[in-house]
Parts: sequence; C-alpha cells; structure tokens
Amino acid sequence: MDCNEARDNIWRGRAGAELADHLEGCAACRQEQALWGLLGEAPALEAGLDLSERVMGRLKDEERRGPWEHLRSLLGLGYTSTRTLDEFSDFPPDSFGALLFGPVRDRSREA
Amino acid sequence: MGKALDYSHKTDEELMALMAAADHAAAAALVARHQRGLLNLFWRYTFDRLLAEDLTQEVFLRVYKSAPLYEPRAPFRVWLYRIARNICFNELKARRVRQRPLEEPGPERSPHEELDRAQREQRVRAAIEALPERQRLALILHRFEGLPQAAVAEVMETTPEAVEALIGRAKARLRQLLADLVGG
Repeated sequence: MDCNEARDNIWRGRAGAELADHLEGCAACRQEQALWGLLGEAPALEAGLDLSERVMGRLKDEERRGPWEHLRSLLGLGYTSTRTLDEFSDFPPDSFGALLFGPVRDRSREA
Repeated sequence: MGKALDYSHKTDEELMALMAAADHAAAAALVARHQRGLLNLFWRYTFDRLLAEDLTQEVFLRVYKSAPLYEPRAPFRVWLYRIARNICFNELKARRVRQRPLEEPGPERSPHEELDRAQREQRVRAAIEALPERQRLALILHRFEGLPQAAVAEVMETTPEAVEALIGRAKARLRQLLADLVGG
C-alpha cells in the first residue's frame, strides 16, 4: 500500500491490516491519521424532535401564507408590498379577482 | 411526524414529488432523513447551535418552495447541499456569528479529562474556523458528511481536482495549526 492509498483509506474511515502495516513504517501517514482522528473529536449535534417539529411548523406556516408569499419572496419584496398585494385580494365575492386571488371556498358546504 | 416511517422506502426524488403535492408526511420524511446532516454541516461551519438550527430550517423552507419546480438533474443530496452552500457563502456573511461555548458535553469524565477534552475541542474548532470558507466547506463535506471528492465538486460547482487542492490546502493548514496534537 502506498501513501496515496493509505490516505484514501484513512479519509474514508477504513481500517485493516494493510493500512496498519503501512502506518507502522510511515510517519507522514501516521500524522494524517492523527489529524483525521482529531477532527472526529469535534462533537456532532443530534437533531432532536423539536427541530423536526419547528421545521414542519415553518413549512405549514409557509403553506398557509399561500402563493402571494411565494411570489413576494421570489421578487424579494418586503412586508409593505405584501400588504399592498393583500389589499388587492379584497375582491367582491364571485368576482373574477376573488376566484383567482381570494380564499378558496368550499362550495360543497354551501349546497 | 409518525407517518415519516411509512416513506422510508421512497427515494428523495419521490418524496419531493409528493411534497410538491402538499403531502406533509412526505415533507416530514424528507426532513427526518436530512436534518442531521444539514444541522452538522452548519454546526461545523459556524459552531453556533442556534444559528445552525435556524439555517437548517432555512434550507428546508427553500426546498419546500422549490418543490413544485424541482427537476432531479443532480442527485438530491447534491442539490440540497448546494442550497446549504449558497447560504454559507452568500448569506451567512451578513449575519453576526455569535461565539458560543462548546455544547453537547458527551459522556462523563474526570475534571482533568474534561479539561483536556474541552481544550482539544476548542483547538480543533478554532483551527476549522480559521480555514478560508471554500476550504472549510470542502473539508466538512468530505470529512464529516462523507461525500466523495467528486460529489463535493458537484456541490461546490467546481472540478474534483479543484476540490482535491482545496482539501489538500485545508489539511496542510490544519496540520500546521494543530502540529502539537498530531505529532507534526
């Protein structure tokens, strides 16, 4: 095993007799392995359930905010502009504007 | 969230298609599958847990918004980490990175061992933070996220040779900064 192969194995987290033999006679690769191990000492975080719940809460908020918010974020518009867009959504019932931009009506309940 | 397990056999691309059709369980499954990787990518980039959690949420928000237009031109994980990369390179600079004490203390140790461990972690953390941003991200993706250099190149939209050079320079710098700990 040459140094390139040894270092490739080290960085893939692979062990084995061949690597151990190489390390015994190669100070540079021992240093490489020491560095790899040292970096591994930096602790990883566990993603708790609360993070999942917060993410899903944000996605659901986003869904509730609707298509205007998507458009706003795509255009990089601020809150003031959103208010203006919201005001445009105040169309008379059954108008074309309400059909396009107004809240969805559950017509099955109206029957 | 309980339904997430029902989707364990689905690919990321299938989950994206379901999410685009407002399937919350598919979204939850996608979040559960990738949140730890993203959280730790941002954690090792910033060493700020609150910021890492915030940025993880931001990635999923962008994924959600992109779902209706998503086309799997690259592997999903590459596409996902590109979003994270953009946040690291373009937006993180604008935020103030708070310096926070090390968290997640791990198993109980003697006071001497604890001090030694904390000091070593602090050194490693400071060394990683001292790397230029492209070297840091390449190293994190390769060492901690387990991405092969070719995949790191896809995420960073560069060549595998360039990634090899970035990681090589990162390792050389780390060996220099941590020489007393790695026997240099």
